Amino acid sequence: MLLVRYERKAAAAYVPHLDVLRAFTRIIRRAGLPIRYSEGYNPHMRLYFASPVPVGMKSECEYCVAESDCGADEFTARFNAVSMPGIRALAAIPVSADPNVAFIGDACEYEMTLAGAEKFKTDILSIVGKPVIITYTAKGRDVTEDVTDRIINLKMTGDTVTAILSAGLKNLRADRFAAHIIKTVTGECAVDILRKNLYNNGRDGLTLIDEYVKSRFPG
Amino acid sequence: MKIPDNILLKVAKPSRYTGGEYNTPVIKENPALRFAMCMPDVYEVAMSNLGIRILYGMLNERADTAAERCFAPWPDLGEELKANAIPLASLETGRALKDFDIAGFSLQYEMSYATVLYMLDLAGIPRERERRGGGLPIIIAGGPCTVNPAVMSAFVDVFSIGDGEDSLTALADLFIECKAAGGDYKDAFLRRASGLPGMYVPKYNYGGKDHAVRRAVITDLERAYYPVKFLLPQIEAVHDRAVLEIFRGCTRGCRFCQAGFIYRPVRERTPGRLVSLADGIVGGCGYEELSLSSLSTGDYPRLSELIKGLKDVKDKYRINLSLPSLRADSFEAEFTDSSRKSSLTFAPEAGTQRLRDVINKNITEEDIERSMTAAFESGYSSVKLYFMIGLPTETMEDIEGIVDIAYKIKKLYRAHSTSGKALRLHVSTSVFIPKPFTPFQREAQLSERETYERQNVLKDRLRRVGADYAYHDYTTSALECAFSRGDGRLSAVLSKAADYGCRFDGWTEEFKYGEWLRAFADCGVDLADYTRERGVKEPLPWDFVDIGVTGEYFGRERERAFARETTDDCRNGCLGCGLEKECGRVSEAKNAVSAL
Ligand code: SF4
Repeated sequence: MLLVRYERKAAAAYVPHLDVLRAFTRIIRRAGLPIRYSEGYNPHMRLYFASPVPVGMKSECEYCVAESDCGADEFTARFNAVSMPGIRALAAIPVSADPNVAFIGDACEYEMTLAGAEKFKTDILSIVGKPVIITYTAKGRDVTEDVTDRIINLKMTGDTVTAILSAGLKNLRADRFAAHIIKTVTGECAVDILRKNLYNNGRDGLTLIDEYVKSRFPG
Repeated sequence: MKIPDNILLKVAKPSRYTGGEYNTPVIKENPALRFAMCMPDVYEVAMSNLGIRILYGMLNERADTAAERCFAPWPDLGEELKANAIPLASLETGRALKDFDIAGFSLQYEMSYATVLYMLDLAGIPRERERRGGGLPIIIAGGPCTVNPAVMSAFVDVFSIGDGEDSLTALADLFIECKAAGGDYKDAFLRRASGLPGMYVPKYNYGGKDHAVRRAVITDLERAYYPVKFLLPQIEAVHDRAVLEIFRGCTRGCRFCQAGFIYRPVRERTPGRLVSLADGIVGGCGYEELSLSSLSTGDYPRLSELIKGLKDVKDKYRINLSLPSLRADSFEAEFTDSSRKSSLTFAPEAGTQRLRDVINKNITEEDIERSMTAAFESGYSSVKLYFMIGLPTETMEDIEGIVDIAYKIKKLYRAHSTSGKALRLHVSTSVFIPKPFTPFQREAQLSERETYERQNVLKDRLRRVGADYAYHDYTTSALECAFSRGDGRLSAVLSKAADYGCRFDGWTEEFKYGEWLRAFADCGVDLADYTRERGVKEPLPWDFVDIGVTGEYFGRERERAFARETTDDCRNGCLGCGLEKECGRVSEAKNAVSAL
């Protein structure tokens, strides 16, 4: 079994998750990679995906478990040789069982580039420590949420804000946080968001999921 | 230009507009010919079209040509493009449509005509060909609707009538030659294009017998270009699977069916070629499903040999094989794919044997019974039946016949079902549309009142039988009838309707019948004038197009229809429809292939 970390960029960032799923099965079939299938009348490839980034956001830390006996390096090489533009396997980690990334990954690092944000650096960084109330619309309804404790860390270089935000059950979406910064600090500007890393935020602090999985689920 | 991210995030399904599909060819930087392959419909429909795939692949394989795709943006993006003054552009490189040499529109159904104008508007290209100057692309059109080019000839410079493979190659060669010669090359191109087989150039062919345009027919399908590297749609398309065109044309001669006449004669690919194409497509694309395309798959003479070969492809890649479009009389248990007991689709078209004889749909009640029994015994539990209402000579008895068939199938299911599930029976009716180049091209369309009457009877009776009933709306059918048999007067109506915001008329939620009626009224044109019966001697707007089958043959078939005489499949003996020369060349090509 392999935990595949992949990136989703360019046009692929707009492809909805269900279509990414189908694209994966097609890539694996093109690559001729060995993969186990489910039983039954309509067998499908045994692939399990962790929660994806919202449509339109780029990511370098999407995860998928593939029930494949292929060697890790061979898997990524053959996968990438026939992958679609914007989707690239970055690493494959042999695992003993499905580590359930959606569950263990509870902190996420984003790079949010807000055009012209550099001059607001002090204001942006001072968001941490104060109460943060965001508003957004979901499914046609206005939502107001206190997300103060979901902002784990904030740094800035140039126009780029690097934020570690809580993920999983107490998720804070980066696009909503960026909208908050725009509303309260910078005013209208172009935004570009990249999901950079996924962490486990445990007793020992932040551990990169790849490292966490290697130590807990060695395969 | 490419559509900016902030706009993409505002519209539904932004993946329709990003490009970046797997298998997209490298777009040449300085080609002699820039060709925009345009489809007046939304991405998911356009990406399902086989004709576009073939021609796009073929053009891009030429060293001197770059073909890109350009589809109709859904109204949400259409509004954004207008508001932000972004001209309609190609998917591959974001090049504005108006910067191409040629924009080729695929006209698959008449209800997409207004969407062509919508796209030209968004591209900043004047609709009328006479208002387009030298700097703008040549607008060409292909696809089944071009057999009657009358309505669109105010807007289109060149119609490519018939098979596109050889025609478009010749047209591309000619364009490149004229462009190299310089000067006012576009006019020279149009003038010379009017002499190419299958090409109708409104500016230079004036219609009338002397200027008849003969449909282009390729005779050797086996060696014709067929793509292997299908572009994989970013989001699920309507038909999102590997498709093999096993043959083109149909010789059954159903009298309502335009496709049965405008694609004659039958041209086949061999099982060997098809299996190797299947392997190439599935291996190169990774599709999970493979399907066969033709007008009547059950008629493919070497079907079991083909299926045997495709089974290997199926096992090699672990994919599904789906075999649609089987006629009731050629269904065999062997065709069913044991892994998926999905629904069975049959199209008896008419409810009684009498009416099926009139339309020459050679399916008998026994055929239906036999295939249903076999299907139910092998585990099918869902049946879809397709009928038409308003066929020539139809009476209420024929409508009752539809209900009787549904009832009979219910009974058969009780007697033969092995699935243990309740039967799901769907009946669907469309309104008969008399089409050019069919024996029924002069018939009247059913009136609005009669349509509702017959639909109401079916609604009521089928509910009591326990079948679901769905029916096509009268209003779209009437417009489709008008535009398929339309003349030059409808160009103005179409343009008016586009002014009133009509586009995507094939989409129920976008269809604005009121605006269409307003456009007809404003132009002083009566819709009923197009749905009425045409006299035997009355000239028809498409008379100057010669699709190969003669008017005399259509006349003969019409008389036989009203005498309730059926006509045999011409594979069992030539009936002299007018395509003898083409049929001869097809057999020559076939012999040459088997000699190899
Ligand atoms: S020419 Fe004869 S064989 Fe050929 S399509 Fe017509 S009727 Fe059939």
